[in-house]
Amino acid sequence: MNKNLFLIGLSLASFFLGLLYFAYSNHYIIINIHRNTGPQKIVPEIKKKIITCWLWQQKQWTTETTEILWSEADKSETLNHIITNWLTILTEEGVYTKKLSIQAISLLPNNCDALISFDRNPFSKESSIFEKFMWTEGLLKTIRENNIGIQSLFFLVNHQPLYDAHLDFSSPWPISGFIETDLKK
Amino acid sequence: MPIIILLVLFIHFSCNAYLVMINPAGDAKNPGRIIDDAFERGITFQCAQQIKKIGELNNPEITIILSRTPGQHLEPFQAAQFANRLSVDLYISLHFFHANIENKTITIYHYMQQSTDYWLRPSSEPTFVPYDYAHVPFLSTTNKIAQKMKQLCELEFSNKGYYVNGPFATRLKPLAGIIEPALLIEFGLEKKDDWQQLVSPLVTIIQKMAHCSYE
Repeated sequence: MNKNLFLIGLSLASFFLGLLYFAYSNHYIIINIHRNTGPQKIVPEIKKKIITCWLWQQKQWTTETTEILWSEADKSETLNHIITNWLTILTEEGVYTKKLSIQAISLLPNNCDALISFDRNPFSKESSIFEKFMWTEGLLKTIRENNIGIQSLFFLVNHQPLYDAHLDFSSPWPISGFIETDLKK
Repeated sequence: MPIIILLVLFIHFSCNAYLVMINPAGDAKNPGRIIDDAFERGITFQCAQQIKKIGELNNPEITIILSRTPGQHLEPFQAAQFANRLSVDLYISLHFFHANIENKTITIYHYMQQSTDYWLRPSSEPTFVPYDYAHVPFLSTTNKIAQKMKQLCELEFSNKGYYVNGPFATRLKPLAGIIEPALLIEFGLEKKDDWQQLVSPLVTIIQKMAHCSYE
């Protein structure tokens, strides 16, 4: 009697296992097992950050703070935001009245030198050399003080080197500028 | 015999003359900025001519040369080549712009390509040097001259309502390629005839610079 019951139980268990296997192999049942697929893909972090903009006003350096979207991975985008906000502040403060916008920004393969192309010449023909020089120094100081990791800037207008009668923009300007660095022997 | 003595004296004084070259801004093709209804090139040339006339009259030991004549077009680096060939003692590039009464400034500049230029040592052997590093051999001297120029400008021009800026060192096209000490001085003029007030102080400054030692 016991032997018969054992055999019936074994047959039924085998039948259901076989049925389960048949259903799994023919995709009537799908069993999803969670697996660890390796290192997680890093999504570039974009965060809001407060930056300081420097401008030469009334014979001294003044600062204004503003908030921008800062991307650790995309330096050119961050640089774009910094310069756009700097130009906006210059216009708001009345220091600079020309309507100027950035056409394009790109980085050289070394990721340290940037090319900035404006849509027009930032300097007017009647400007003094001092005005032009302090405009350039203000831009360099703003980028330098916000530690974006750029070493030099090429100034372009419509993707051509910026031409000025007094200042030479044919080669990149160092981000350290020319005013505050005093490396005399 | 008197002719020989005169010739020797002439050569002696010529050799010991303090040679200054003044480069008035602009030329035949580049009129420069507008001050009132006049162009910068005309006003700077008039000023430079007057400085030369009065400077040489009162100071026979000073020789002042202008880098161009009226109506002449200067090619790039032509003035620099001229100055280098003559081994001038001082090169001054004179510039004017239109300024409001509260913006009357004098700014002094000299050339620098990078802030590390002071660390460079000129080679003792014949070497090809890029134009933007021609200033290196005399950079320290130029800096001292610029500092002195600022002091003298403050002395001579403060009572005329001018504020003196600088000296700044940066990449300036009018000074590129010049080996000898070279300065760029930019004046803010309210009216086109204001240059006449600058002549006498500038002659005094050049006279004082000629008697200074910068070693």
